[in-house]
Amino acid sequence: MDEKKYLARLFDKDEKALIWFIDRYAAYVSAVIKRVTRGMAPPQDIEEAVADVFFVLWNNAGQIQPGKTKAYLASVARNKAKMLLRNRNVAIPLEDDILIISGDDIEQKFAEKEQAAFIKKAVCSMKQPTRDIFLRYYYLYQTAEEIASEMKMNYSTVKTYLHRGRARLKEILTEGGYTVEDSYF
Amino acid sequence: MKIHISDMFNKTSDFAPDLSEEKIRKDAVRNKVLKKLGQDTAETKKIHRLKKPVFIAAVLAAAIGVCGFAYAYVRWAGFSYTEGLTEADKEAIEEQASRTSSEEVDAEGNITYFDEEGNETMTMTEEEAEKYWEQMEAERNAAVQESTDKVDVYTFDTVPQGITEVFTDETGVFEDFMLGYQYAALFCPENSEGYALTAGDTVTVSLTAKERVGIEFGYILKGVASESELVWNTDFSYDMKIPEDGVYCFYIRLFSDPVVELSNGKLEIS
Repeated sequence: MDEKKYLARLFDKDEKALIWFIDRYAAYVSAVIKRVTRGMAPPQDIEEAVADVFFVLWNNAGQIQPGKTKAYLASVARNKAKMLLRNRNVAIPLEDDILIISGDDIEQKFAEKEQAAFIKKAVCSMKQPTRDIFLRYYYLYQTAEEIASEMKMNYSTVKTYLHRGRARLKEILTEGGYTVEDSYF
Repeated sequence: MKIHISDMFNKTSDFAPDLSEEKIRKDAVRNKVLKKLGQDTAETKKIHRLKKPVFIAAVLAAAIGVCGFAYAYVRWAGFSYTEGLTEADKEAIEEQASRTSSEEVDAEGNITYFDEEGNETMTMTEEEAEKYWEQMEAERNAAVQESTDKVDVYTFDTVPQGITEVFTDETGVFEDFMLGYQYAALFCPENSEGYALTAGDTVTVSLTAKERVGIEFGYILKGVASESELVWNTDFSYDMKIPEDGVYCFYIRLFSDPVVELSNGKLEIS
């Protein structure tokens, strides 16, 4: 039975469908949470957070488009991981994370929803491995060293790809009518 | 305008980065999720237990029929009236209710348990653990039964972690209280077996939760708990149609969240 049918059964509150998703994705959800928390959360907290992610899936099955379950779980896992760190008063330092942009009515127009649209457009237009590296850095909060180790690359190569990713993001924002300060690129 | 690139992803759910997967105890995750759903399979009995200090407090509370007024002086035991509690008291309750104990399994299958502070409490083999927690659960269930004579607690689909009788006044109003996860509150008039009702009557239980939570609603007739219905809301107004003439009590059980603060409680009959 494919995922679409399990999603439909999940929407009908079939616990066996939930078990199917847990068996299929628990390891992946754990991988997301472990990377975002950078080893700063104990195993029992991670396990609890993984369970929370599937509880969210249970309660929101109707909102998930078939084929997008893994991405949905990744986003929930990311948020859970960030909450774990917040609860422990741990901040995730990330270099080159700041953008200063300007434009007409910027505060009103460039709300979270629009930011999401721009980042989606930018990332989807990136070539590999820029896209993977950009996501690992800005979505999963991995350090450049961690990315280099996992993807078996040089640290400087990873930094180069990140620079390309930011440049592509700047292009997309500029096309959208915003001005991005050059000093960050 | 200054923004973080990482924050731009906050409202997206489009990306599933390729990652090497991590080892995880799928059984443990499965059990935790089902517990959150209020299920109780044979395997979850190991984990579906009270934390030790809370267990002791719950037994104490059940044995003397305490309804939680002494929270300030005892550990959180799943129920407390909020009158007289300060905001700091309530936050302390929430903090305590949110703590979780944990366990680790070694290569030989031995299980080490840790309390909420992460202190190691005991180590057992899997067989020892199964017997131990079965016994603890039986003792807990017995203690819960001692706290009320209005219901056979074993008629619930799963025995609540604790039950507190909450008395309604002559207008049906009941006091504000805080309720813990899988704890139940049982509504009835004071010094009475319950409400004498007729088939076709409608009973409405109203209350307000501090935040959106899942609460199960049901009734008790002849000591038997009805099947409950789960409702998610902040402002609750739940109707129950009375199926037959008899003397009824009504119950709620917290399905989600470690603890919830409930107010504006009223039970009306029409």
